[in-house]
Order: sequence, then C-alpha cells, then structure tokens
Amino acid sequence: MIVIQNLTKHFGSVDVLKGVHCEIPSNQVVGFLGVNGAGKTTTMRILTTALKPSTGTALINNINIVEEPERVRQTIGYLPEKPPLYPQLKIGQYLEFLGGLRGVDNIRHKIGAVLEQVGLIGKEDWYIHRLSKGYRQRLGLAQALLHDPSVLILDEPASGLDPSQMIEVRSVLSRLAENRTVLLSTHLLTEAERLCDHNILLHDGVVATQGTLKELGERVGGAYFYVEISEEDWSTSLMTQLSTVSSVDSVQPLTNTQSRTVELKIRLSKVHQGELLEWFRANHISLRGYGWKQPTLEDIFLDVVGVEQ
Amino acid sequence: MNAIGVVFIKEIRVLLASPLLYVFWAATALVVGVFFYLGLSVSPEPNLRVLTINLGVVNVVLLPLIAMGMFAEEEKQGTLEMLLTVPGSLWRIVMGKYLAGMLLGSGMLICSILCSIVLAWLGTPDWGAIVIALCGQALCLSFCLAVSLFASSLTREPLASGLLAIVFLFPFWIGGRILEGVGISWIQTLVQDLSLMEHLIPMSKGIFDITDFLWFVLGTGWFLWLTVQLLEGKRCR
Repeated sequence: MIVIQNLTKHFGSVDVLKGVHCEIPSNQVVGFLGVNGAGKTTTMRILTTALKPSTGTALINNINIVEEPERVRQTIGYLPEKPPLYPQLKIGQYLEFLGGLRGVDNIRHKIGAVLEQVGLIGKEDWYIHRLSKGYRQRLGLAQALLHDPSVLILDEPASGLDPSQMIEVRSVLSRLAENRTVLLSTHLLTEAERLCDHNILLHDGVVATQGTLKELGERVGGAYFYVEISEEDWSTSLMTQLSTVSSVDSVQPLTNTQSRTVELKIRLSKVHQGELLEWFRANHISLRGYGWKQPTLEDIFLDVVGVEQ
Repeated sequence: MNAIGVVFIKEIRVLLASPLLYVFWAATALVVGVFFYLGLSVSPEPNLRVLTINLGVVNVVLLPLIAMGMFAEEEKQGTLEMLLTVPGSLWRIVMGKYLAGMLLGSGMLICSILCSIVLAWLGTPDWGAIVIALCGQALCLSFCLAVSLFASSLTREPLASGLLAIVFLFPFWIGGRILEGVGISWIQTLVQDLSLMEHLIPMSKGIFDITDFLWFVLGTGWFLWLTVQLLEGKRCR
C-alpha cells in the first residue's frame, strides 16, 4: 500500500503540490488523473525519489520515501513519460546494463522473462534507435520491471500510441497488476476507465476526489437522465423553460458537433421521467434519443474540474 | 560483473557509436604526429618532452569532446533520472564513465608509445625518462577527464559542457604565466602550484617528483568527488 501524507512541492514561488493526501491500495491499477499542471508527474517523481517533497512524505509498503530513499528505490519500477533509452544500444545490451547496475541475479533469464511479459521476446538484438514508439514504450516498461518491483509507477504509458498499440499496452498492464500495484497517470479518461480499479483525481495540486468509478459516480450524483435533441431545437431559453419542469433539478448541455446534436444531461428529482418526456412532446421537440446513463470518468472529471477546463 | 564494469561497458558502447570519438582519435593522431616531428627537429636528443607538453594542451582542448556528453547527454535524453533512481552509490556510475573515458582517451598514449618505438629506431632514448613522460601524459589525461566529467554534470547541453570544461581547464593550463609581472610572490607561488603545466613539464623531462604525481592524483580525485556531490544534489533536489 502507498500512503501519501500532505505532500507539498514548490519550485521557486510556484506551488505545484499543495498538500496531496491519499491512500493507494495494493495490487490494483490506480489512475492518477488531472489536467496539465495538476501535479501528477511531480507526485510520481517524488514517489520515485527523483524529487524531494518540500513538506510531507509518503510510505511505500511502510517505507518512508524521505527517510529511506535507498530502500524505496529497490521497491519501485518507474517509467517516465519519455522512456529512458539509449538509442545506440541494442535491447539486450540496454537491459543487461540496467540489470547489472541494479544487481539483478540471473540476468539473462530475467531479461527473457520481462521481454516475454512486454511482448518483445526474440528482439534482443534490435537496435533501440530503430524501434517504433510502441516498442520503445514496451522496452521502457521492461526496464521498470527488470528487478521485479512491487510498485510500478508509469507516467502516461499510453501517450502517443496508436489504438492497436494502446490495446497491447493495456493488456500488458492488466497482467502486471495481478501481483503488484500499478500507479499510472493518463490524460485519456476512456483508457483510465477501462484499465484502472481506483482513480485519484488531482486538481490544482490537491486530491479533488478519489475512489472506484462507481464511488466517484455516486459522489457526483449517480445516474442521470439524458435526452438528445437536434441543434435546431436547441436554444438557451430552452434551458430556462426546462428548469420550470417540476421533476427537473438541473440541466447541463453538451454539444456534439459531428452529429449536430445537443445532449442534455438532466438531474431529476424523481426516478420517473414521464413528466419530462411529456413536456418535450407538448413543446413539439423531437428527441433523437433518451435514457439513463451512469456517469463516466469524463462526466466526473468535468464535474470536479469544471466545464471551463 | 560489478556495477562499475557494467557502466564502463555501456559507456564504451555508447562512445563507440559517436562520431566525436573518431574525430578525437583522428585529431589526436594528427597532433601527436606533428608535435613528435617538431620535437625531433628542435631537440637533438631522442625524448618525448615537446610532445608531452603539447599533449597537455590537446587534453585541455580536445578531451572535452568525448567527455562532454557523458552526463549532459544523459540528462538531455532523460536517462540521468533513471540512473539516479537506481539504488546504490553514485561513485559506481562516475567511476564507470571515468574509466571508459580513460580507455578511449588513451588513444594519444598509444600514439606516444608508437613514437617511442620510432625514437628507439632512430637512436638510443633514455627509457626511464620516456616512461615518466608517458606517465605524465596519462596523469594529465586523467585530470582533464575528471574536470570534463564535472563540467558535463553541470548542464544538460553537451556543447555547453564541452565549452565549460575548456573554460575550467584553461586557468590550470596557463597557470602562473597569467600573473607574470604581478609583484605579489605568494599569490604567484600559489597559482603556479595549481598550474597543470608546472607539474607536467618536469615529468616531460623525465623528472619524477612525488608532489607532481600527487597533484594529478588528488586533482583527479577532487573533481570526481565534486561530480558525485553534484549528482547527489540532483538525486534529491
């Protein structure tokens, strides 16, 4: 388990972390989500001991990162956003170097095992400068796994990958989380939704909210009713009129420019939506679609961070 | 294999892939050839005096070429953070890189040994003086490499670190000459004691003084220690 206790970090006069406090459960894939500058990478770099916190600390498997950084370094594997590779070396040479530096026993066998885990088996003699972005990402993952860490910290592991590479990386990460904690940051909320058991949403240097997708969804009001109408039927006055319907608590519009429709996210005071549908019929507004939806991470993200973000 | 050996091999592989190493070797071979010829023309005795003194200058100007990327390039390509978060002493990384630099930089020593063979063919050199001159060249190489490594750990731009190394080495090269005419003798003595050439010139003549030897060894150790301290600072900033 990772326990982060009131972590702050400032660079000069800029406060990047303003008191991050959370608990990360073991043997799960945990997503660190947030806009650029929210403090995801800084928090991760502090956990890897690459940065020292200004105040606060964190415990990784009960080891204090400030007091015992050497022991923490043995426990964690880290993949930065840009995989740390030497283009001049071959895959095998690169892993031999890192394994030797980390004092990994039976290095040849271990290299074979991690290359199999990340799907690079048989490619030890490939030069790194010739690898595609997806393969580089996998090799970066292999170096982080070489010493069999119990905690894997991955900064944007799916960044820049095409959809097929993303599927591959996703399946690799799911396998890896079977016997270790995987902490990853991502901008791709759909990826986080598919991959992460637990999500931590950072905003402006603090933890805005955290929990499983279900818990987070309930925190923002749970399931909501949506109706889809054409752009022609949409107007700002419609919002005012809708709010007069007794069963409607709130309305939030989302425009889909591709299908030229507007989705109205409506919070109802009653589970029954009959009155609302009747109102649309009475006002001659045809509905392209309607129904109940569970909030996605994107909904939760927008709710916490604010639509203007 | 221990960690120093692992870093050493990796560094050799990376440097051998760099065109700068071959530029360094070619320039070194050319400079050694020219100064060896000039040395033979100005001195009737078969020795390496002129060559050794001028190779000191080559070390100051050319050695930063191969050492400039050793840490700066690591930082630029994002691998330094990985090295710094590997458990264990940073001495292992610095020593591995230093030894790799010594091996690849010793191209000039090999050229000097070839020159000694030519001297033996042309006449009867004083082998004791030649061995001491070669030792002087190796010690000078070691000192300049340590300073270049330190400069490389200061910045993430290899070119800037190369220039920094030259800037750092320049005062050691010109040393006491900078203060000629300044009447304050103790300052002149101090600066002369810190001058690389003051300690290389006796060795080039075949004179072995333990203080010269210690100057190079301690100077090398001091800059390697500074490099480790600087990296330790980056490890927990």
